[in-house]
Amino acid sequence: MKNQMGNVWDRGTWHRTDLHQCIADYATYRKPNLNIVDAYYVMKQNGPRGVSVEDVVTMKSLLISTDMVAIDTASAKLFGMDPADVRYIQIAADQKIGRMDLENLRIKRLSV
Amino acid sequence: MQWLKRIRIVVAIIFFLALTLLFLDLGNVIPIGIHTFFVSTQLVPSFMRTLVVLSSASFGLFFVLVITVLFGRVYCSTLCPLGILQDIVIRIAKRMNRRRRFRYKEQHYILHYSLFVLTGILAFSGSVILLNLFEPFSNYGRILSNLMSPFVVLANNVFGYILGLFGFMFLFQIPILHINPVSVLASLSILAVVTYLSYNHGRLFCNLLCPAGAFLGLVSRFSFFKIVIDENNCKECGLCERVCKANCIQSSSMEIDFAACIGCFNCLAACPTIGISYKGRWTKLSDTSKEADSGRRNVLKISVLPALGFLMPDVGFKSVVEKSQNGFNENRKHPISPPGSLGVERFSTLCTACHLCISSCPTQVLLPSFLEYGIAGVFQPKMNYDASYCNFDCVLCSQVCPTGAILPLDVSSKKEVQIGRAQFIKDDCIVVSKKKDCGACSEHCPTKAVKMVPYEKKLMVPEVNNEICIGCGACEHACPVQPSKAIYVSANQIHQKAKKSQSKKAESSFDSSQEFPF
Repeated sequence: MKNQMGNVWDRGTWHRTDLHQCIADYATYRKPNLNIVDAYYVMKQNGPRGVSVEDVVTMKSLLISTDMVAIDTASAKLFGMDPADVRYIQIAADQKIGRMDLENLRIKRLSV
Repeated sequence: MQWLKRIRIVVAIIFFLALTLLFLDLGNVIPIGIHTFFVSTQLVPSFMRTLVVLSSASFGLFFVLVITVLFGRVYCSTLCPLGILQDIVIRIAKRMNRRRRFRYKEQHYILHYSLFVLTGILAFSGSVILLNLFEPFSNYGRILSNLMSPFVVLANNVFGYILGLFGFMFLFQIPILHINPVSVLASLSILAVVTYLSYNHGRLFCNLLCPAGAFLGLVSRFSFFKIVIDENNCKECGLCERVCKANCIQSSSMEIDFAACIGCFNCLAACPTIGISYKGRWTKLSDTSKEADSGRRNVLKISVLPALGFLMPDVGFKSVVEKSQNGFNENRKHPISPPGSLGVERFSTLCTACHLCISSCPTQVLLPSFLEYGIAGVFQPKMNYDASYCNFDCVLCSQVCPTGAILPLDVSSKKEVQIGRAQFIKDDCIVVSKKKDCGACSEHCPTKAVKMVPYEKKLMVPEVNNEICIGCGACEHACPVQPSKAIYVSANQIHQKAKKSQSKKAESSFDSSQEFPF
């Protein structure tokens, strides 16, 4: 969801207003048809720029979903965070933009 | 003797075009080697750089001195971009009025050398103000980067837009982030002065105001080849005097004031006979000893002037920038000098404000200052974090600087140069004042000197570690707080070495060979 911020020219406004709420609200305007999260190399600290290669771990994972809230929820878990701690995911789920209840979703898990 | 003039014109066109393109090279496509080659031939910047460090500029300086000792002030008509600009104006003036002609005039040696001595004294005592105002390369650079460059950007954007309509996307849109109106106005005035003087008085600028002209004039008095009038062959037609842009040929008395001659060789081309010629010292001509005699006397007269220079008040920036105890300023008004300049004071005493770094800065963080460095440092570039920030991986300004005010850096050492320190005003921060997450500063920080730490319930607030901060201004530029930012960079008067940021190896939050974490 956060990546949609790149569509906005004045991101300062989002930062000034309420970042999490703005990120969630943008999803009510336009949702991508398909969301892909590349979690092959994942930056775990010092993000988003990183200071050295020490900041990156190799997870060799890829998430694909039509539901951007669900994919963000799964990504948070992959990252090692409780999705409810990421406020915009919670807001988006509350606003019915997508679903956080991964246990009720049909997820295909492929290991290669 | 047409060929000397032809060679002069060809060399002049090459150097004029090259130096012009260097300033208008928006995408920085010209290799640094070519930059260095052309810029090192510029007398004043190369002289200053040689004082700082022996480099390719020293070869340039040596080359200019050698050709001047051999051939006179040919520099002024071939290598100096402002000189060639004046030649262009003079050519246009001649087109507009065909009956225009030059006449011999007494040279203003007293004024010119007084100004030269004063410029030198001020420069060595740490104030480059007069050098900035009259040095030809810097003036030409300012004219280009302040007056021409915006139009080139505009043309690029319009072209890029039109090409974009047809699906060609290779021209990028370049935003003009900031324009300093005072600097633009000053460049416009110097252009007006130079145009006026050359339109009406030929090369008066070079023989009245230009410090390079004064210096080369002194050297050319001893030059090996000189232009002389041969009394036996001269028909006294006066054609040479008519075409002399420097007003230094007196055909009635057959005298040439060679110290003022800018080596354009127009007189040689104009002479219908062989009455005027370019001769080496070994050819003894009839009376050449009279040449420039009055000039020599005038030089003696002004030898009292150095005393005058010391009476000048200290117009250096010292009175403006006061240092704090710990070496950096708490005040956000102080200018930040670019990495490689080693310190604000050193930078201000060496920069002639040619704006070449400003033209080449890809993020446009370097902008002309006005009085931030003090009167002496007027128009010298400063880091403007309102407009942009310093790219972590970029060292272009340090590579193009002709005077050595910014010394060359390699990318890895640049990443440890601390030009200022981030100051965080916690009470103004969005996280504290509005209790909302933000983190823009930390996101942009390349060294993670600004990092987010837990705050109150589930919020994160920035925390600054000034040991690893390099003062690039990314945090200040990104900070969304209005009207004045909650994080800003305060200048280091003397640049420091930042510590490297240390971080532990990140650990994977799940074992990818096992099950999924969801």
